[in-house]
Amino acid sequence: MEAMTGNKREGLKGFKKRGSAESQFGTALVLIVLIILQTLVLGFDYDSFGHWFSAWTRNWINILRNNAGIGIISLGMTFVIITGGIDLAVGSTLVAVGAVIMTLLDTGPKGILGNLGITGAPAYTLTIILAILLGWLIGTIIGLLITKGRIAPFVATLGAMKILRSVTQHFMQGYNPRVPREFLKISNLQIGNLMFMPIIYWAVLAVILYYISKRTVFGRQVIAVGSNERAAQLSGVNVNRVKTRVYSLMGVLVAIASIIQVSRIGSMDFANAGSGYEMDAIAAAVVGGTSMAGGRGTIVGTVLGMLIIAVMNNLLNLFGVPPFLREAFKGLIVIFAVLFQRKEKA
Amino acid sequence: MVSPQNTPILEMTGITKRFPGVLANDNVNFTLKKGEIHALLGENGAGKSTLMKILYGLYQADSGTIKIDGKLENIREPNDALKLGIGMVHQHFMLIPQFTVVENLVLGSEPKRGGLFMDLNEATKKVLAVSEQYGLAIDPNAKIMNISVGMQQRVEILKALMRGADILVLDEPTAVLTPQEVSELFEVMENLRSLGKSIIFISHKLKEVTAISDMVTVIRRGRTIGSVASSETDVNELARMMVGRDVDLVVQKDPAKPGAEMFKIENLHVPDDRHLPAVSGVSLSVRAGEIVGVAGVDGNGQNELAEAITGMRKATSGKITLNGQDLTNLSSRKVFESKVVHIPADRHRHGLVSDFSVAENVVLRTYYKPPFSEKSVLHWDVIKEEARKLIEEYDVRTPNEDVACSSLSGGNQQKVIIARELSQEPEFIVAAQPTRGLDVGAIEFVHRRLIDARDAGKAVLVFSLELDEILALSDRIAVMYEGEIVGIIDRDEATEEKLGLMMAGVVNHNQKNVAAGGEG
Repeated sequence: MEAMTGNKREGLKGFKKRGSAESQFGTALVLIVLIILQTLVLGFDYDSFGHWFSAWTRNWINILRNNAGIGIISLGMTFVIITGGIDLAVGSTLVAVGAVIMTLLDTGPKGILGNLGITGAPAYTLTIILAILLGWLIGTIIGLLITKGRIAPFVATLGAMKILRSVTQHFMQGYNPRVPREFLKISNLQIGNLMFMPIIYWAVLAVILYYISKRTVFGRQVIAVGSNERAAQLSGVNVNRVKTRVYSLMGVLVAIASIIQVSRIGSMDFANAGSGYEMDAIAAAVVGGTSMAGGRGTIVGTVLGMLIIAVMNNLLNLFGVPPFLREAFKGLIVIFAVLFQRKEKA
Repeated sequence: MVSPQNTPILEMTGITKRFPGVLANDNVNFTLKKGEIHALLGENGAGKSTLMKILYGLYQADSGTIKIDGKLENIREPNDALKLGIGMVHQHFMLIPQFTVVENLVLGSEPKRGGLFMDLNEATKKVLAVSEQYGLAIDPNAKIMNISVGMQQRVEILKALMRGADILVLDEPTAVLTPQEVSELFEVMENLRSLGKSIIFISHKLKEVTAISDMVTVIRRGRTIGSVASSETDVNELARMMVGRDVDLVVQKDPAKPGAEMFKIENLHVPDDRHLPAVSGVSLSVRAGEIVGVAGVDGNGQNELAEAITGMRKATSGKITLNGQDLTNLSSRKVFESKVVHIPADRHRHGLVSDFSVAENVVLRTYYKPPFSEKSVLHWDVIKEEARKLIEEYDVRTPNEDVACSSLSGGNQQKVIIARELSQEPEFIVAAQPTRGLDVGAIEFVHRRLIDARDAGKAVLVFSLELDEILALSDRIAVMYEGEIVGIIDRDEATEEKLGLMMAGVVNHNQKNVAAGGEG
């Protein structure tokens, strides 16, 4: 019976499938090159190393803090895309949750929690819990539309995107809630003289999602569903539940991103905030090696992808490339990343 | 071997299932005894898969009852079937390629630690226990994409056993295996039988059915024709039950009278879709009045080779010639105009436009030329006349030439392709899997046509995954393994076993060695 194991047909197939691990190595390499370039542009100064280092660190903290929101969203987007889906509603969910946070916390006469006599830490805790619940609810509804309603993810989330943005704008027009200064500490708490709370949230969530994808039954089932939905179904995996949970998770992550966003500046432009986030999150996942066809993708890859896009933006800024042209470079990275990954597989 | 006991573990009675326009199962009865290997034999579309899908809960019967161990059961979905101890090994394996063997085996019923995390150690322990219990050795940590097809099938069988299957349904399990792997599978099946498992073996291959099964139930056009003990029947009787008339299982043919070398491939290299080498240095020739068969397990470069010959895929190096004329990397139309016709392996993707009518499909290759069109205007009367002529000549069963090809049966679709291609007065015929998915009657027809073409002095190259077909048609046989031709032998020297070893890459004798050795 051992003759079967000795069959040489295995060899060729094993050879063909290599490369997915290498593509992450490639992604990391690109990132390193960009960082070196960035360091050179910032002007490495050996004589006043301390001064240079502090400027370099500050620049990096800025980059990471500015991208923490999309970074967190891109983690959830990776899961969504692995199942073969897509979520276009993340930007609109962000403003919807943001509007609710601000309405709850408003220090003016219309503030909901203030009118109920809840202020201070209990109010913030309650707000955070409600925001996350709302994100979960929106995600779950989208998930159910896709699984039980059998609507294509693109269409379901396109619909949700339009509805959430429009309803939020309608109810928030002419209303400018003010968020208590204390709440802003969530994102602006200084440690030493540096502000990197959003970065910590991003890092912690990345680690958690990494473990979910690698170690939990749910994480493995996400990949199974994306790789071969029917096989997963016939193995007894509840495919609809797995998919719905992926969108619920996405909603929760968007809610967290929304909390960070509101607490960073204390206000939100309901017409424009979060718009384009869906595409940036998808771009990060794709640059990081996630396949739009599903079944393939990693959290590490997505974090690297996000960093590549962020450092590239920073570089363009440092080089003084006109702002309108920067998006073109983002587009080029995405296209080249996929071309490069395909070549590598070949 | 334990002799089958007399208790029926499964009784399906009066099963009827109607699909729009088709009566797939018409009052079908099927009884399986404990510890028995029971073959379910029938042509494609006879209704055996429908019956098994009803058993597995993928379809609901319109009427009829299912009893397991004498108890009436209602099976609504695969999970119900699993709970009743029914396991299914699907024809297309339901495995996740990038998961390991263990991860696949526990998928959907993963042992958990802390309610959330997967307990891989526990999973591996469980898998190894079951693997040992049934004597099915596996490498638990190998990824599915890196193991052989035979191994993948073993994983599928284990998966069913791990879920507590007492009744195993194997859906055309031998279709993807080499002859050696088939005999290993049969050993596994016999071993499982001796351990008290009952097996339903779906097949349309008569020899395999008589070789392994205790009982055979034949289904034809949705009806049970009969159940017989394998020991009391033979291949010819089964074929008659299956088709409803006497069939020539092996088409009669005279010895070939090969003429001059007509078609030639020299050191051809062809990449696959991922730019990996699929065909590596193949040289081959076909003489006039000769059928050369290319055997091999699926995925060893046969498709790429056929596509390179017919202009559907570019070769990176090497040369293809017909009567001295260079055909290398010409477009499909140019190749066709050089009198090379092609019966493609995938008739739905490359053979027909399913939504087009029979008439439109008949002129798919020639519509741009007179008499079918002039100055870009189609002459429908001529086209339809041609279609009617070919429908008559090739016995295509269709109400008329305006019917869409998608509404014809697989066998009749294939007849449309064969009619179109063979009516072009070709010099060279490339036929890839010419009888895939066809029933015994239609196979006989296709084989007859190819042999007639050979006898008319054409050169014919047949690609087939079915060894029986290769042996029935070929005058010479080339075996492909990992993109190379590992040997070319005369039909008279070929045995199933010898070809099987070559297909598995175990025996690699090149043309010269055979010529020099002169074995056989």
